[in-house]
Amino acid sequence: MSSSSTTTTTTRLLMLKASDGVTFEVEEAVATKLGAINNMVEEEGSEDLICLPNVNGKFLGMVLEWCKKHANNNTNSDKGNDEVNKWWDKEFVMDLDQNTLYHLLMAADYLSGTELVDLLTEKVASMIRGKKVEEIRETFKIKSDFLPGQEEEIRKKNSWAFE
Amino acid sequence: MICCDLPEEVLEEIFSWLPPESLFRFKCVSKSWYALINSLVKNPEFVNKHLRNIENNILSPYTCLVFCCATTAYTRRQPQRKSLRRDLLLRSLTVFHNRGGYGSDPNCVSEVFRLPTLPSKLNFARASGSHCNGIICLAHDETVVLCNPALKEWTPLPKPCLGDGNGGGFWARRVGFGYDSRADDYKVVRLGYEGFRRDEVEHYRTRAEVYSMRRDSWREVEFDGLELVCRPLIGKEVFCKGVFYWSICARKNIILSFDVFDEVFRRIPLPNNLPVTEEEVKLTVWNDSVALFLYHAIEIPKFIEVWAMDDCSAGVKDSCSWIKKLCIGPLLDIAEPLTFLKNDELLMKTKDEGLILFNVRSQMLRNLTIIQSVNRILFWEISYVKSLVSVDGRRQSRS
Repeated sequence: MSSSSTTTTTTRLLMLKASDGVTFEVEEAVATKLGAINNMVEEEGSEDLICLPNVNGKFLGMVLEWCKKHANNNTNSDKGNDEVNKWWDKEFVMDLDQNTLYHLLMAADYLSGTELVDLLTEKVASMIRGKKVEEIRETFKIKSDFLPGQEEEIRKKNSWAFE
Repeated sequence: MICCDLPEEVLEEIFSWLPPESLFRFKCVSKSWYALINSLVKNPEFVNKHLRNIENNILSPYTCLVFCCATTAYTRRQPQRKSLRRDLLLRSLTVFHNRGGYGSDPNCVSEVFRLPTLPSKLNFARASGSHCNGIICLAHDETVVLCNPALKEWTPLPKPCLGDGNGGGFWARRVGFGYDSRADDYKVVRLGYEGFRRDEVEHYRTRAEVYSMRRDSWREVEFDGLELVCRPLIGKEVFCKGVFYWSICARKNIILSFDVFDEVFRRIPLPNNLPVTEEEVKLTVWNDSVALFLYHAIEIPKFIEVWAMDDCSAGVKDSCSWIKKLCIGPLLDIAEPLTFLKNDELLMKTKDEGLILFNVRSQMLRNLTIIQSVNRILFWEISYVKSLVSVDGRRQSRS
């Protein structure tokens, strides 16, 4: 075990470099909320510059903003903390458009930000929950690949889900 | 636009937040969605994750209740059982808590609640209903069924061992359905009483049996049955941290608990300094603790006290203490408190069979006019969630 994972008082700074060259200087305690970064820090130890060729700067910035809020809120461990986090999470995803949501979700998944993936997938689900099959195909850019009649049969079997 | 190249694990995460009907509908999107959804709904890990997410929901938290009701006019004029059944109606009420702030109206939706077609012997008005993890247990006389309305599934349970004619006439009064997390098993407790004569006087003795889904059989629970000199009224159960609680009224109030893991009944003492006369005692769950509503049945305006039980794991005798947590009132048109919802909201029944929400923190009252507008009698209500927990495979071993 590296010493970095056991002490919370260290304010070591990490440099994260996004695919478009934008760099972010963040506290280790913030960045290691992301599983992928935590692994890199533990494995590579002394490396201070981490390159993330799969994440664009705009979305990396948003992911880190989320990490920062959660890291800050978790340090003061009073009871209302959970409520504050929930409230802030709601605000964070409130006005995300589909495009941003998609890229943010891909970034959070790539960086193994489990809690953030939870939040973003809940948001996606809340947007698609009541949609029709055709609308889902449009949203997810999927073409139906059923043979003629197959889709009808599935609809019939699950007719109650279409009421 | 969201693109089609979402990794499967992300798609799974999205699916774990969707209600069953959306999932089943989305099977029609494509072959790969069809295959993925079909395998997920049979995967116990996914089913559990889906269940946890109903609780974890932060974007639109809600509480859902199912009410069994009937029109007032009908029950008064034609009290025959056969005709009564036709006019019974199940309605769901979903209260959304996402409006935030204290001054805003909680959104609510009330819909007709459909069950799969159940055995005709089951009389809803006389049945007792209990809910856990999306499965509703309905029981009347010797008919006990489990059903998951969100999956349109139901299954009858084996015939109970305590039946009419057994030991001088056993009356099953309440059925509790709960999950035993330690044994990963679902259990049904059937509680009732039988009458017997002693010294020319009618006495009543409580008896109970338990069904385990793993054993797929009933067995009587031996316990120091309460012997009562009048026919007891057994209130609706509450389930908290693996333990059932019933309040029993037979001249005085008694609380019985049943731990689903060790399958043992215990008697829980009531608060010491309880004012005994003419007070209604009703069990509830408040902030993850068992609690009591204490109120005067007739008196207007009404004051409702809430006493919470100190955590004493299943109420080992004499070790429980009760603490008065809230005093609500004066309330004018309230008939009785029903249950606490999320966010400290208390659901109550009004004198005209309507429903009203009272926010304990803000002290604000909200009419839930959707149910109130139809003039009905409420028979019973249960909490409910839409889950993917199947009752079809109950006879197979559940991994």
